[in-house]
Amino acid sequence: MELSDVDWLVMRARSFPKNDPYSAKAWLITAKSLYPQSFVIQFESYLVEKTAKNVDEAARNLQDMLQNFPHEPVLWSEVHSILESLQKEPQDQKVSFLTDLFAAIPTSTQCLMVLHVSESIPDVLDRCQLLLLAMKKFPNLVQEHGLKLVEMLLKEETKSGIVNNPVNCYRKLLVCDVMPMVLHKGGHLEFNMFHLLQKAIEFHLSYVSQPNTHDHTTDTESTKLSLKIGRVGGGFPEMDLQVADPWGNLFRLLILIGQRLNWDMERDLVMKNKEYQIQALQHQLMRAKVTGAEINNKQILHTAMVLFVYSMVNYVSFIGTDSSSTGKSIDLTTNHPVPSVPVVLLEVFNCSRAGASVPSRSKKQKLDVSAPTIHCSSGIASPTAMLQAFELAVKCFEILNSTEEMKFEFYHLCQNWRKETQSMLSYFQTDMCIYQGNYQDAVMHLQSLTVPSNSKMKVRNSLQMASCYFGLKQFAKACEQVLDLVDTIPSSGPMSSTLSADDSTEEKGETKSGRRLLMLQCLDGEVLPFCLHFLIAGLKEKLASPQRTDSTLAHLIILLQHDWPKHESTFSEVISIIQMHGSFTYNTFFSYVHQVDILEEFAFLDTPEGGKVNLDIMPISTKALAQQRTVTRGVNKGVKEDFRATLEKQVSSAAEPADVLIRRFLKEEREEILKNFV
Amino acid sequence: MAGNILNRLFRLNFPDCTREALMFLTSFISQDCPTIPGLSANTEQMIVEICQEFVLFKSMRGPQKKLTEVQELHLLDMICKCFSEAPEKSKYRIFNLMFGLVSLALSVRCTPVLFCAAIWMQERDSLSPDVKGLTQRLVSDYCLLYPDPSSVFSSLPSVSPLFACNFVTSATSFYSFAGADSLPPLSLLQHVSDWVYKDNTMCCESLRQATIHSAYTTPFPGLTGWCVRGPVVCCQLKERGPDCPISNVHIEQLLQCLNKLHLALLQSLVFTASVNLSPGLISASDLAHIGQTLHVVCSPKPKHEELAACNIALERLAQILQVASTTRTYIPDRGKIKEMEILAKEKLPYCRLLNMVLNKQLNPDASIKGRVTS
Repeated sequence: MELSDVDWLVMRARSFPKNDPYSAKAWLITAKSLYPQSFVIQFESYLVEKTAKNVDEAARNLQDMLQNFPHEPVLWSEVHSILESLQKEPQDQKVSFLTDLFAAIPTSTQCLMVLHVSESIPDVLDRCQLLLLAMKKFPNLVQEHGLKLVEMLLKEETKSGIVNNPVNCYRKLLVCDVMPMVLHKGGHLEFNMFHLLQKAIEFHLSYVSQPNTHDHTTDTESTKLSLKIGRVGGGFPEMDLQVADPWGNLFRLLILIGQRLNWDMERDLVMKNKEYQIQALQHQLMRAKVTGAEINNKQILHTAMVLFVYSMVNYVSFIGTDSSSTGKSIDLTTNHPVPSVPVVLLEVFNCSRAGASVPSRSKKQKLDVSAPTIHCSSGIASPTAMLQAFELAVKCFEILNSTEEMKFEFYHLCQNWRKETQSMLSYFQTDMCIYQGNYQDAVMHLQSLTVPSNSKMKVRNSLQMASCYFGLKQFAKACEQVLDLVDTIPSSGPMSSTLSADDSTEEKGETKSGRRLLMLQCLDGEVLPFCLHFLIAGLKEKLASPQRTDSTLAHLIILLQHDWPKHESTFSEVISIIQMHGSFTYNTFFSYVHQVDILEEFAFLDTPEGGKVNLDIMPISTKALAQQRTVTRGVNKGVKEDFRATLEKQVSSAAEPADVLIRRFLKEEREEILKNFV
Repeated sequence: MAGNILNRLFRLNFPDCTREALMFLTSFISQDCPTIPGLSANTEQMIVEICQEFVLFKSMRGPQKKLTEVQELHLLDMICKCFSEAPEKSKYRIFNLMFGLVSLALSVRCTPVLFCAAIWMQERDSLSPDVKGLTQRLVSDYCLLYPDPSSVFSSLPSVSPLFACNFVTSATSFYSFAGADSLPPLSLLQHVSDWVYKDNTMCCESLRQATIHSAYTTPFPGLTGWCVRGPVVCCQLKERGPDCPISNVHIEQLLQCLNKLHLALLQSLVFTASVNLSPGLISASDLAHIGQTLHVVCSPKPKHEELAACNIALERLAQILQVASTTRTYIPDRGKIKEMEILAKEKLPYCRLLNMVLNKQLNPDASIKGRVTS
């Protein structure tokens, strides 16, 4: 059978040995001239150039074919393989040739190739990834196709129904890859950039606050994924949804948008490091607020929004809640160590002035003029950064609530937040309310938090609750919280006695005006002293009240043994009350009082110099004894001697450690203690 | 006297210095030379120096003098005038001097002089004896004396493409590649195939000048002749065995160069298809003539090897015809194609490609469709 002319020409062209690169080409030139409409011949000459690694010639051939034979499947499968090679590692010689080949083709044809091939891909995600890839390699494509890609992803995200979960593959592609590129390189943008920024905030916020449930990364599976990855429906390969520097990315987007909208900002801010950017944005926000022009509103709103979510999440990760980074020792989004126990913000109430320091809600704004100071316990890892994050978050939150328009936008942003983010916000808002002295709202936020009973956050929440109730002068509730709390905290080692802030309340509290706040680690060593502080302060409140009983005084005395002689002045106060009263009855006295100084003081009270106070503190009531025995002088004298003897015995006997004793007291006398506050 | 003239020329500016120099050279050659038996070494050196300083403007002494385009035109005018005004009997001598001049100009890459020489060659007809003489001189200077590739010569098309073009035309007429006695030197063939391969526009340079200089020839027919006859001639040489004047290795090298040259010619034709050039690069008549010469070269009863070589020759002829016929620079002639068809049918071995191409030339509409589908 004789070959057709075309086939014969191709066959002849193929018949030349490798050492004669010229003759085959000569034949193909002739064949092309004879049969310009033959795809087979053109494709053959393309293959010859490709084999000879002549990038320019091969590119020209390819382009000619794309123009003249746009319907040849063989051609498109070749184009597909070229585009696929673009996403491979360039070490491979074959791949790098194909990449060079693609680069040698004029942009218009590149677009044609990408569009045609991408249209033939049924999966939108695959299609977008191909377009994205091409745009990465050839930024001149961004101008024409960037917008289309944005629209495609937005549409598909909605269509797929996973729009409620912002951490999805479409959104990730949009905010991490497409948006930076389009904002950076794209031409005129018609879409609403703020809408996109909202999408980006949503994504990043959800991303950093998602519970990290899968730590067993299956690298081998996910690294192989190329065009065929990321199906809808939650089964995404984990690698695919990893974001290296989420906050950096969000700031970059904000800056790029700002530059597009001609916000007043440094020209090359986007190139600077994250810390610098945050500083710059913060300054810029304050500047824009000061000038107060209408035109700045959008800038203020969006800068504040981004800075708020950043600093809020950052702060919450510092305090180490359950929702931030469970099970990790390093917070991946902020790169600071996650505390092993939560850090809690509490108000330190100055006992004697507790009443005055509770502001009514209407007066709140005025009182806030002098911001309260926050002291951090020395065990907290990076207190400065944590406080900076907190203050920035508070500042931004206030800005976002300063006008109706901003409130509306802010509310709009928050309403779609996932549960974890909402609870982050609640934690922050609780702390902010405490900081602002707004205890009512703080209690409300605390009550909205659903915390599992075994959670380490339980202690934190109870402490804050107690602090708030104390601030609201609801001592009974505060006390109940504290007593419950003490019950749950396991005893381990001695209580901290070097609590700087606690000291400062005693020593400097009187001299310095303004409220004092304290950041504590939720360790029993730090928490228990604070609990005692609450109880002592609460009991002191009652000293002047008519409901005061001898039990109140006794309870206070027992508690004052903690960290003796720190509270000596309070003790003197109590003693003088007893002296004034002339009698004191508390029959479990010797069960809980072991402090020598206190025992001596009581011995002194019994003497004429001490005021000859009528003490009834023996385990068996003096009155009962008196009834038992005949009331004579001699008998009474015996009682006195018993008292002395018991005192001496109590001094010489080996006492249990003060904190064990106090814990025992709090546990055994719980009901009695609560009675003080009824 | 010799020292005086140099001193005087150095004091003059262009164009006076050149005019004086040319006058001196003309009168020196016309009058003094015959009376002095042989130029002394000193005198010859002085003549070279005058050429170099005031005609080529490649100074050995001071800084390079750069001529503007207007000045170059002026220079050309003066050289032409010098030729036309020189006495008849000394024209050849002046011309001889110019040979040396061109060779020198080439060695120092002097574009204006090479351009002048190129125009001269073109005006003169690249196939004329004078031009052949120049070509021979250059080939012997650059291809035979120094068989190693000369960087000066290999860059000739970039220094003066027109000169290179006309030089190649002349070279193909001098070395026709029609038998053992007209083989082009290997290094010449290497240079030429390289030039055309690297620069697909080189063969068209003389054609470009066609609008200015009515007389022109192109290297295309000559080079096609090389590519077509070459394989047959080489095959016949090989078959002579021990009688062959050149080694087999040498023959293989020639054949390889021809492969490359042939592709280069086709690429040059493809290039001309995309630019606006006047017709005349090659004609049907040229190709018919090449067919005739092939018939002359071929043995009456070729053996197997020669038959294969002859097939290559015919296929090349067919390829050039096919690709050329699609360009505007080809001059068609149905009569000549008919002539070729008869020649191919009656006098030459059967060649499918040539038949295909001739068929298409003679029946442009019918030829394609049926065959594509078959």
